[in-house]
Amino acid sequence: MTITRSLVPIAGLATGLFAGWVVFPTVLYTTVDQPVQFNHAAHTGNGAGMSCQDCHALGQDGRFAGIPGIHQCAECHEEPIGSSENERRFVEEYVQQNREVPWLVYARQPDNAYFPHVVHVHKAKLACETCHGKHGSSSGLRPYEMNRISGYSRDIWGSSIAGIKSQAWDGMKMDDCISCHSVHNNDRACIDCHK
Amino acid sequence: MRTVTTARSRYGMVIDLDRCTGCGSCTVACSVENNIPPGTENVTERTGITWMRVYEADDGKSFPDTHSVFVPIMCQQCGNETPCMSVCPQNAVEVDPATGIVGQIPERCLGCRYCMAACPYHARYFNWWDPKWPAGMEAAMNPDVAPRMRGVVEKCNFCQSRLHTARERAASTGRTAIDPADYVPACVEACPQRAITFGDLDDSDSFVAALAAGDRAFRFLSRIGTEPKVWYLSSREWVRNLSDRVVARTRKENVRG
Amino acid sequence: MQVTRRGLLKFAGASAAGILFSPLPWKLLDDIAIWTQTGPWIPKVPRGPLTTAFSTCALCPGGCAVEARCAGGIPYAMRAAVRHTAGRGALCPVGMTGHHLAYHPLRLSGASVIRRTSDQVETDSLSTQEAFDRILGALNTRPLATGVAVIDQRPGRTLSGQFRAFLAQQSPGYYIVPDDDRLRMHEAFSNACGKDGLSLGFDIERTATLLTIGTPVFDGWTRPARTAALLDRRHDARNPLKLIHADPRRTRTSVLADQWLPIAPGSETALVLGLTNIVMRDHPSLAARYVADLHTSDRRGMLDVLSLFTPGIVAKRTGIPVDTLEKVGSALAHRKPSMVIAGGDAAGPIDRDTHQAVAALNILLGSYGTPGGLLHRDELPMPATKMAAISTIGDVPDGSISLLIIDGEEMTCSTCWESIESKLSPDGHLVVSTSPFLTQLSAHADIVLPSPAPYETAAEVVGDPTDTVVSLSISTPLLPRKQGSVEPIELLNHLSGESVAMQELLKQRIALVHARGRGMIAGYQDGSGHRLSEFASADEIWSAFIEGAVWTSPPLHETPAHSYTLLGHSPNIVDRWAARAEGEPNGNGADGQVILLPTASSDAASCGRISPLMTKIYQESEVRPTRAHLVLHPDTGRRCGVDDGDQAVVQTESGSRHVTIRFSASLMPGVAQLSIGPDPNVSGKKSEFAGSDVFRNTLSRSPMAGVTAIVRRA
Repeated sequence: MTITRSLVPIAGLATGLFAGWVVFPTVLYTTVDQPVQFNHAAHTGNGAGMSCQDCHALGQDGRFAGIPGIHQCAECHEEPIGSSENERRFVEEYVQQNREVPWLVYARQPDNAYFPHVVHVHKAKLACETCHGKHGSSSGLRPYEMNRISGYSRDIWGSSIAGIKSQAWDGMKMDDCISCHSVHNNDRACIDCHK
Repeated sequence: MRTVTTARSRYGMVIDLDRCTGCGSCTVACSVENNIPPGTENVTERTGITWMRVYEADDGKSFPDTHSVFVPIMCQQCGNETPCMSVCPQNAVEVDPATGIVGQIPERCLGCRYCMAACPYHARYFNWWDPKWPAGMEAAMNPDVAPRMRGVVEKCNFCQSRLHTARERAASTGRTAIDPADYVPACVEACPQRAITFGDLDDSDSFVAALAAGDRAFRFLSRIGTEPKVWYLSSREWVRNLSDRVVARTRKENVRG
Repeated sequence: MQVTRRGLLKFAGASAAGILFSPLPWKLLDDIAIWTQTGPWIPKVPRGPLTTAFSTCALCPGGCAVEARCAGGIPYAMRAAVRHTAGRGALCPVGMTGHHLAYHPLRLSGASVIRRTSDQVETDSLSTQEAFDRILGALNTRPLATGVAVIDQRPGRTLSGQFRAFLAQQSPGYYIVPDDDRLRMHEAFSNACGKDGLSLGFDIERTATLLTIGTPVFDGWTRPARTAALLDRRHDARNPLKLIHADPRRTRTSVLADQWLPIAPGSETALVLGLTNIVMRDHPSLAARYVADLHTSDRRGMLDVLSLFTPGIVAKRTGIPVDTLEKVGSALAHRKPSMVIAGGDAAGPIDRDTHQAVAALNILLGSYGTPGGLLHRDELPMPATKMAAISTIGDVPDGSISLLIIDGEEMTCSTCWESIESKLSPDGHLVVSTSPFLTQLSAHADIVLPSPAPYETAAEVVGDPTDTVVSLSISTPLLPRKQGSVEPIELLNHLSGESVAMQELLKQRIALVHARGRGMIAGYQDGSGHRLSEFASADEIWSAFIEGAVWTSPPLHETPAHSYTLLGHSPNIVDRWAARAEGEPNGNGADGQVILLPTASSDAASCGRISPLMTKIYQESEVRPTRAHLVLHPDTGRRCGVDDGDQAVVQTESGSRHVTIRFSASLMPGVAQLSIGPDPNVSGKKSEFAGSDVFRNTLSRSPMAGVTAIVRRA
């Protein structure tokens, strides 16, 4: 009986820990599939041999173009290349109808965050992989894990629910920006990164 | 290793009151640029948000001897003991050491409006409502500026998003300093009379520094020592004497004195 | 195991402690913080590639060059195309928000039937085809002896020519243009010169002495680039400008002019004739030089009537001291070139007799046909077809219109509903509006066929009518055209059984310009000028226009006539002028009586609706008065028993309005100023379409004469 009685708080503690560490992350995030699949690896490196900048260009005025528009895809994909179902659907539903793909962007930050790619790429000489990891060599788009409360991707918080960073590119919260900037740029103000 | 990567400057503005026609283009351009929503149905001059606002001031004489002047007033970007910054309990106001711009951080603001009471120029505005545009008009929002939420204070920040753009331009060509022509706030660009000049007050070669040093230049409430970075020009003495008057947001305590 | 209360509490407490040692509370706080700042109720900024595009502002005929900044192809901000010579980098606040109008809350989404109940204006949608059929039905089955009329609020366009060609086929067909100051000025000059079809522009860029009679020079009268130059010219070392503004109203123009002549309400004719008297008296050589062959009887009539307008009498009538009048007269005669401009106010035109007096003074001053004065414009060519004559609403017999098409928005108050109503046939009529929005005028129509909003279609911009330089440009579409909007040419096609495309018609006109070979084409991108011979065809010019360009042609060098009739050809003008020497009763605030003067911003009034964002300079600041603010002198106010900030009612013989009192010591005692609109803050209530309420039927008088009104506390 005493053992059972002292088990109650331990069971409670275990339940709480279980709820916080295991149940909560699964409940907090919902997975959404991308509208169509995209194979980065097939386009880069040994595939089509393109570099990141070929599609995700920095404009003349230094503005980052983000995800290319459908017209840029159409330059090669006016007709389906290969016979995959995904490719056929992509060409029929988006390219031929000149409709933009509503991609779910893993790296999307809230509107009030300002991130100039050009400064980080040209001045700080950061490689794309530093922040985006191996995304450029992935062979498919993993499901988008959407935070049910804030609506943003799990990638922003990082894969660990505890916020423990395993890789430089794992998690892009303000603290992650600061941790780098506190080393490389001490002349910072709120307005530098907020709009 | 700590490195300073930003060139230091002290941005300021000079407004020629002898050229201002009070047309309101600056006010409207500012609102378009900074995603300030249209007023609600019963909006008044007390509840509205006008970062850049044109007042009509006069010499106090009665008809037909009245002389009037139009005075655009926005955040005067105080450089000394910045009143709003000193009173903010949330550290939501910050003077950027690199540019001198007094920045407002809506995410930190708790909406106590102490800063509004402290501001001698009444240049701060409170979001009484969440921003709302007529259906579909969100498509005409400026992508470079985030809208603010209900319950926070906001004000002019010298179009910091345009500073961002200018810095991106500089970075793309490998320059460390921005090209002054790339950083022009919306009101300066919009003024049909070219009454507003903007630039680095610390750059002795800049037009704005030369104007601010001229005989016609004055600053509002210079006696309280807040060292604003916005200067005004007029060749009329009574207009320059306005600098000692209290600028207030309601008509009853108006600049008319 | 027995479940006890104590056990449960222990379990709950321990799980709470467990949760505290998990990321749940901290992560939840973080996410909720983000949610409160970026929740779905806060609009998200648009995404997409950022581009710029050039176009021409078509909100008023001025046609300023604009550079639109676009995100994902949708414009989000407008700025003046800086390098463009005609725009010279200036936009008015209305033009700066022109891209907002497509989203205006009172925009009509498609063909609509207007239903007016006692307190509401409602719209029922119907298909475009149904609307066409009903209009065609009204055309074919109209009562005997009734006619078809088109009110064209922006004459001179290619579409205007199409309207006139269509109306020439109808019997009777009335082509009606706004009865504005420009029309009246031309009438007066035509009378004085005995020449018809004049087209004059004001060469304000070179004037040394400019007397404006109520002209709202700094309130949107012309392109801001032209008035910006005016202020510069005051400090010009060689030929500085002196701007004298005569107006009983305290406006921005009164404030900014070098000299404000606060004339008594309704005394503008006396002022002009008094100044003419001074000029003729002190400078007989002027009369001799410019009016060499003045007809004897004409001369006597002129001198007779001028003898009634001695400086003393005029000073009494206008309230302007004699020595000020003498100085102004002397400045007009000596500081050449000098010019007098009358009217141009959105609050309504100045009466014809005053225009005749202004024409006479301008001829005496030698400003007609000389640089710095009134110059002949090189008019745009129009395809030669049989066209209906140009008339005004006053020329149309009462009760004679059974089908009325109103094209465009309210340009001026000279085409307000009150003046139209009596012209409609009592045996049945159909009023069609092409306005994209519900406005004061379109709310009175039976059917609205909404034309595309600004920047949704390639609109023709025929240029500022007050300018000496004639221009033509195309407002490049920047927005996708809304489904349900109807180009007015489609209606015309349906009525006339033809099928012409607007773009082809525009190209035909461009071909005429091209064939004539006069003028230059300036691109907005770099401001470079090109001769017309550099373009192989009209199609090439069209392409240039679509990329952003304007055709301009300088004024013509026509020798002024040698024979003038200063009295015009109006038989009784001498008597009517003479009657103006006597004063009208003036409001003095006793018994709450004031002279109520309408004010309006000409730029804003020209497009019917303005961006909802314009509350920034109406309700949210004091830049422009709203319809709900009555401005008066503190002394006048106190005599009326009202104080600053009070709620009050202003009542005239035609109606009343609730207002908030605003005191300003700079106003003339005895008068009160009230804006006729527009108002950006709309909710769609019927009161917003009520029209001119307190000013009804009084706008046919000069806006500077005002109306008698009673002000009392609400």
